[in-house]
Amino acid sequence: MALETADAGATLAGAPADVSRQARYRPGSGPLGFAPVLALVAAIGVLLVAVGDDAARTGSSLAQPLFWLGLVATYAPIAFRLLSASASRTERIALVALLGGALFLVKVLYSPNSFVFYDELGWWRATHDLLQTGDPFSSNPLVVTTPGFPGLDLFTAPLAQLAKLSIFDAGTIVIGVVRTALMVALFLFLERATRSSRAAGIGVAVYACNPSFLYFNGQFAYESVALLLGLSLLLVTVRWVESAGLAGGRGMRSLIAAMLLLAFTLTVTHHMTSYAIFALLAGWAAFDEFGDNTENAPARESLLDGPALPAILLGLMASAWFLFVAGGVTITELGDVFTGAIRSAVDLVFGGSAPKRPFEAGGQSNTWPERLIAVASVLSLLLVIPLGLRRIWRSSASDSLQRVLALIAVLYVVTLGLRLTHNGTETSQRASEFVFLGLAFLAAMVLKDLSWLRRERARVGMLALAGLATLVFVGGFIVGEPPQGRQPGPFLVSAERRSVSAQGIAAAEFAAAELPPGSRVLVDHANATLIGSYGELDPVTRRVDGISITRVFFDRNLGRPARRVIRNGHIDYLIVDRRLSRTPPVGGYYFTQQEPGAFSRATPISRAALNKFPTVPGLKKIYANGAIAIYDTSGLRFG
Amino acid sequence: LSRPSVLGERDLVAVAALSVVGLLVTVIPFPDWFRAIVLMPLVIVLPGYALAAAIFPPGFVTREERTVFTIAFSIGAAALGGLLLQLVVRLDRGTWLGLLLVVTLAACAVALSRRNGQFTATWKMPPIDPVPVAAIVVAVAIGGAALAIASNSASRQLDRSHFSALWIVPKGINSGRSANQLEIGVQNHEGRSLRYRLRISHHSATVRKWKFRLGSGQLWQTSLPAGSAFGNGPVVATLFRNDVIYRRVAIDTGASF
Repeated sequence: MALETADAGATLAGAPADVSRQARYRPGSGPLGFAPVLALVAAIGVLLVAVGDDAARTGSSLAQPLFWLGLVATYAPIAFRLLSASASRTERIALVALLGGALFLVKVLYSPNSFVFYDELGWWRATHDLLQTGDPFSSNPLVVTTPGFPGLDLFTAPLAQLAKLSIFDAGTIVIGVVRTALMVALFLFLERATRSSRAAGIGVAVYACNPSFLYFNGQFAYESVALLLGLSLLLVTVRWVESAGLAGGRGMRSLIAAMLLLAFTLTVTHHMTSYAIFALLAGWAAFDEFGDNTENAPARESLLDGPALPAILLGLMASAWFLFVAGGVTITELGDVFTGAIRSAVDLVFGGSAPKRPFEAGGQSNTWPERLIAVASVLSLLLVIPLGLRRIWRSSASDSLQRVLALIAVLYVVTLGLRLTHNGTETSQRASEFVFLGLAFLAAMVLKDLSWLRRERARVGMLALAGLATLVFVGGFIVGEPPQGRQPGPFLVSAERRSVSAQGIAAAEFAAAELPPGSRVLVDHANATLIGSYGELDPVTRRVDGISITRVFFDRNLGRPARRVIRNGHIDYLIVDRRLSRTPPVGGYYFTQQEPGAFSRATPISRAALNKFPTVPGLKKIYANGAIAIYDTSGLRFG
Repeated sequence: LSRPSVLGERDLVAVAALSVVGLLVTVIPFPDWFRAIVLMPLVIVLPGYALAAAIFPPGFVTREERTVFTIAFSIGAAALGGLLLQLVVRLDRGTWLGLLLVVTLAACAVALSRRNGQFTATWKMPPIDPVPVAAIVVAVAIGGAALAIASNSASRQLDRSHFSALWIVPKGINSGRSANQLEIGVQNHEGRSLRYRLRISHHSATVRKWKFRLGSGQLWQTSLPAGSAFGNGPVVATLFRNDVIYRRVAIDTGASF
């Protein structure tokens, strides 16, 4: 695969033309080009976000303008420079690493002292249990799949233990490093796929527009790490495919060793990334074998000389891991996600439920400018798909990898459709990190072909394109994060990270210090994250004897069904947050997505329903902090 | 494509030396910050770097590819090594240290034997211009300031919640060793020093009472004999502030003991 040499940096990287020392420094000169200057600008953008978040915590009206300004200041200048024809390859690599690092910092600023995202607290629990017991397969009440995929905690635990860091510090360092390496890996992969370092830089800038990029994929969670492993495997595969055609096949055994190591690490780290990368490799191999009639069609002696070998290795490992280790937890988690999405889609088509109202969640809605930006962002990406497909399928120089990536981009349309339902939104959100691999590739291919953009002085056009990229980036964030989730702020009812409060933390710390670890508790979803992590208790969320656990909280009286839930579910404690009765759940539900009135509730849970517990014989309030009370159920269960 | 990077053997010697320094840092008492700085690379960088050098022939991967594989292989070393080791030993500090040291040093040895005189060191430090370096340093400082602002802001937000917590539990229940005693606790999260009055009652009769002052964030705990001392029926703890009932919790000694 020959790389284009039209880009300034596509000559030997690391050795740009003007490395000679000059008497006076000129901005943009030197190996890193404008990257140091843009680092300064991005840092100011991050500072604006920090000040905006501070304003949000006090309810100031300046919060949002500062936040958006900071995001734009972080992203736009880097996108502009990545579009430029004059940047060297080294500068582009520095810029994509800078973009990854700066945007990760934006995520850290949301909660710089502790984890507050649901998955992060689930992984905190997994790492904590590993440190306590030495067992990476301990069950996890928050993220049920952690015992099946312990790659992340097995990497974080030694860092925390050896360097004597808190799990939060160790996890943040791990994700920060991985995130920066991910951007470089993505650049290198797209560079091979597009055969241009400039297109690769543009592709990375587009990838950062995916709705999950800023927060979800920056979490201390397994998919954040797995994507780096998946891209590393793709990089090795590209080298494998290239080397197979060379005489002597130098380094073939090394590449197989690298494939084995990466495929196994990926397999034990994250189910969906393993399956997605397997699908990509299998599709690539299929195109290679059956669909590539172009001039670039590889002449291989064996199918295994192409992407089929890593596909088979990964497929075998993932299948064996599923069969012997992680099948149960994988079915539990992915089953819930996919059946929920399918059920919602069927209900939507056949009128079983009303569609989700776009841009609204739990009474929080986007402003009109935000909606316009989001729509423009989606339309811009949709426009890329036909242009890119036309470009790829018409070109006789397109290869099978490019065609597979182009087809992956088409899935974006499907994921948009999923967003019309509540359950489908989660699937769409999770899929975006993979779908955007294809979209980033197509966008890069379309933009690199714009002849006017190749000119050194096409500054107006570049400004317009950088502006459009920034609009897509901001729009992606608006699509991916509901209004209440974008910035920190005062407590909100059932709004996940915005529901993490001092009272909730105090209750969790009490539970960890005074109650038996692993006790089974009924608790609302938001407090479950704290009780299940810092509190070391096990929140129960599934039905008991076919009865929804929400009967315990929603019923006016603690009747027979609710008592059955407590007795047969072996519930040790009930945790009641009186603040739930203040407003309807901002996130759409109080306890589970299947509860009555989920996503459609107009009135809050009744105060009487939450106040019934002190009068129930057999229940004893053993802890109270004003907002949260913990009831011991032993009198009810054994009395 | 970038030129395959050629480092001679100095890089591997440095990796091996750093991992041995990591071992020394764990046995010799050093300040935590120093220990963290030295040991972080032992987990995140060194095993992966050594593995990449051992797996790929000299000059086979570019500098950028090596950077990516260094992190990815380090994850693999800890994850797969940990999975294997936990089959035979408990994963603790010593196990992790041993695993990472063995992987790093063994991979360094393999890599050194592969290179074995094939390459001479041609890498040299690129010229450093003070202006971009200064720009990067200032950028890092601004990023640090942003983190400090956010950290203070998040702490202040938590401190704005003012409340006190009261609890009563069987002592030792968290460790599964019931001491036939009750444990009563009060914690002040009011953001200022406060005077409390606490009353313990059984069948409406006061059993014990205390008056105490707690500073912001302070915890007060005491134990009482349970079971036969009280007989059946709930033991009630009532917390007063300004002589007004503020919190009330209870435990049924009959059921819990």
